[in-house]
Amino acid sequence: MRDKVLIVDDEEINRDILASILNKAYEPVLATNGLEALAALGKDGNGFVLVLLDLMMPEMSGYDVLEHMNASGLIDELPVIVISAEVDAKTERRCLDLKVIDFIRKPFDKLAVTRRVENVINLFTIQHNLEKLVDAKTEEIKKQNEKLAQQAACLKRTNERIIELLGTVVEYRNLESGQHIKRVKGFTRLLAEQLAELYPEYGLTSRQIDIIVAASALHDVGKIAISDSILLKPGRLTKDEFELMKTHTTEGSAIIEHIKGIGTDEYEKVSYDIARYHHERFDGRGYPEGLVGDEIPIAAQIVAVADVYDALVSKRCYKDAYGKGEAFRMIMAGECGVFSEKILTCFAKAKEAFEALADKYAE
Amino acid sequence: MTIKECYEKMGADYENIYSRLGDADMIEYLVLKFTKDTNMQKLIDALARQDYEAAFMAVHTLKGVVLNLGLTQLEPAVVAITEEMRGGKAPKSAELLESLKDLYARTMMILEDYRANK
Repeated sequence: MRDKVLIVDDEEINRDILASILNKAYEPVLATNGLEALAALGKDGNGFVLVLLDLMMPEMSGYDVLEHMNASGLIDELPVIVISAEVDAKTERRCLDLKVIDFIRKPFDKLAVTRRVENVINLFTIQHNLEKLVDAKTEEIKKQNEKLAQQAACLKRTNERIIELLGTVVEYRNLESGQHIKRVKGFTRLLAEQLAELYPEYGLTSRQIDIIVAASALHDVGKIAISDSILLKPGRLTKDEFELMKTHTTEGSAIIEHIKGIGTDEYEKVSYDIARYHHERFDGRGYPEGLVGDEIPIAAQIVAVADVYDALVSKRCYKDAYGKGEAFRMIMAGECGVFSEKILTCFAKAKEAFEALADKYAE
Repeated sequence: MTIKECYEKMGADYENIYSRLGDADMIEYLVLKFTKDTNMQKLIDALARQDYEAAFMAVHTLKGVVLNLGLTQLEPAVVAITEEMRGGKAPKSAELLESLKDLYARTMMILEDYRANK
């Protein structure tokens, strides 16, 4: 199929000459003035590949056609060559401003007309195809990026599952209840949300709370490094055994340092803090470093309460379960760890929510 | 008579158009169409009613056709009048127009004669 070329000239002889020259390679369509030309082009150029446009015509001039094509943006899709007997510098400038791509002077010369038409159409086609190619590539890259983002999100979920799994491994190894980690996470969230509400000075955002809750699953990961004879020993540990048991905090933070890259930096930092410092005491008499007061990262302070509470209300190899009311009293009285006033205030406020959660995830 | 001889008879430059279009049949077809061209009449009518815009449009178009058809015998007069009237001005003298009219009439006569006898 030949490409369509629109020839716009009010003079029949001129149209005939151009049509006869272009007839072989293209399908010439004729218009006798600007109005006919615009009608033929329609909104989208109607499949034409080129317009040959006379300037001086009755009804509507070539300039008016150009103005319309510029206003509609069609001029960027469809090249226009002006055909005119004489083109002075002023006319030429005006035409070029209106994005005319080339000029063909009268009298028409077969070779000149053929070549100019060919050149313009080829150049325009190449340019147009390049633009299309760029658009297609851009779209492709966009899609790939979306896919990458999806894969990254998937990877993140997988990592979270692995981390949770790691916590669960410890839990089973420990012969603690299957619900321990779920409950610690739940208590951690209750306490963290209470803290965010009452004490804005900690600057806890909901995102940070999510991270602390997720990281709390790994608080006892260091217990992997503790031998069964100590970990599973019924009854009290000797002093030496207890010293070994205490190393689950430093072992835990070391393990987390080893698995760097599994989550975000922030997540790793919080996991590290929780594993290492969840046995520190607010009065400085905890372990492994004996940090005092708010030297203890807030995430570790929160998880410490959650962990102690859960240990108290659960049956362990070395003890029976305490009643929930007794467990609450013991923590508030400082009989099981020493916590800050602020943390205890939050704990007291969340007492009923803690108890409901303990019942929900009971053995 | 060939179309080439017809051009010679009119005092036109056949080589001019043949070198550009390279097709004798096409040239014959186009130049015979010129006998139906209305621009000369439009020019005369527009000048009679002193519509110089329309007159310029007509002579300008006529010039384009004359150039395209290689009717070089008409070229000096039609170009001169077009330049005189550019921008919608009245022509400076009637002489140029009269000379164009004469040349034009003669051209038409030869073309009609060619058509009748070909």
